[in-house]
Amino acid sequence: MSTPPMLRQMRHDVWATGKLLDHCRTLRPEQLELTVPGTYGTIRKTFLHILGADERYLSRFRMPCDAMLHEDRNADARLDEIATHLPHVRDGVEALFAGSELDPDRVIRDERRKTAITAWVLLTQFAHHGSDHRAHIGTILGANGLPTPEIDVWAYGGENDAVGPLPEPTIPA
Amino acid sequence: MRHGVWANEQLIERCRALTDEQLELTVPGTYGTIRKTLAHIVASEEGYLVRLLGSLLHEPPLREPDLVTLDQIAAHVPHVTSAVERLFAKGRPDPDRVIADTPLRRAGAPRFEMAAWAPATQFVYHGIDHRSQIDTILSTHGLETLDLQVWPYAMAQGASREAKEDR
Repeated sequence: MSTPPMLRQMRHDVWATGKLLDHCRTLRPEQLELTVPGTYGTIRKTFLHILGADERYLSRFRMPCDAMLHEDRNADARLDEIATHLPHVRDGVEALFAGSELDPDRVIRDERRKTAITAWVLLTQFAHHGSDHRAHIGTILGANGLPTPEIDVWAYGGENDAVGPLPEPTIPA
Repeated sequence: MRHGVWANEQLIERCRALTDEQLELTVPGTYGTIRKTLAHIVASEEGYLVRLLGSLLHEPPLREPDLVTLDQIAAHVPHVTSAVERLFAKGRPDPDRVIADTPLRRAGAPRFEMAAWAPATQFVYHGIDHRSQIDTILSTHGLETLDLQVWPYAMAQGASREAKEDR
């Protein structure tokens, strides 16, 4: 059975966040506090927001998570501490698709928030939200003259042997 | 992919209210000007869809430098919309199908082989990435931004709503 396209999208998202985290862990503490106007906030705060939101989206599917990142309670968390939440997110995404086929049209009721939401909305927002805020971090890095890593799907596909150059066909003699 | 198309339409409509000078605004660390970024989004999306469908969306094929005005960019959005729908018209396409080439490849350019899920996933990712940059440009220059997340799209589709108390 082929991998569901939504799982591909979410796996790329988790991979991209991990790549960007690895890249930013080489920055100095003061560089992690850089920002530019028009973005969410500092690099560190944006990672806190991305991973906190990822965990919240997964929790709507009742995916187990021992200690979710909370943007207020964990406001001072260092990048290393924030990064420890990425495996939770990765495991949550895999668990979501591990059982019987995930129904994207299933309605999820949230009594606390008094909302009803269709599953595809949460899944699509998961990928949208991460990409949107990683773009902010890319802008902050670029605007401050710092290198940015390749985190698009071509790079991901290359690592997973799904994208690659072909040799030109040889012309028979 | 429908969310991506919807978000492009919303953003292009928003940008129609900008002056020519505002369309040429940018900030460091982004792709370029608002106009150039919109052209890049739409031209790239046509490129991904040509690769996925294995045929041109129209003749002559679109090249990014062809898109000079906002009207020209907007005129290509229906091509993207209909190609997305065509891609799924005969049921769920096989994400593992190997695509060996694209009709858009120029003579002598390298050939890339890829699983179909790669350009489909890139379609979604690429649009979000560059729309986010336009949002940053608008905001930096004190111009009104739009909420292009999945929440407002889902509300418009009736897929997210306030839950009724009596259920």
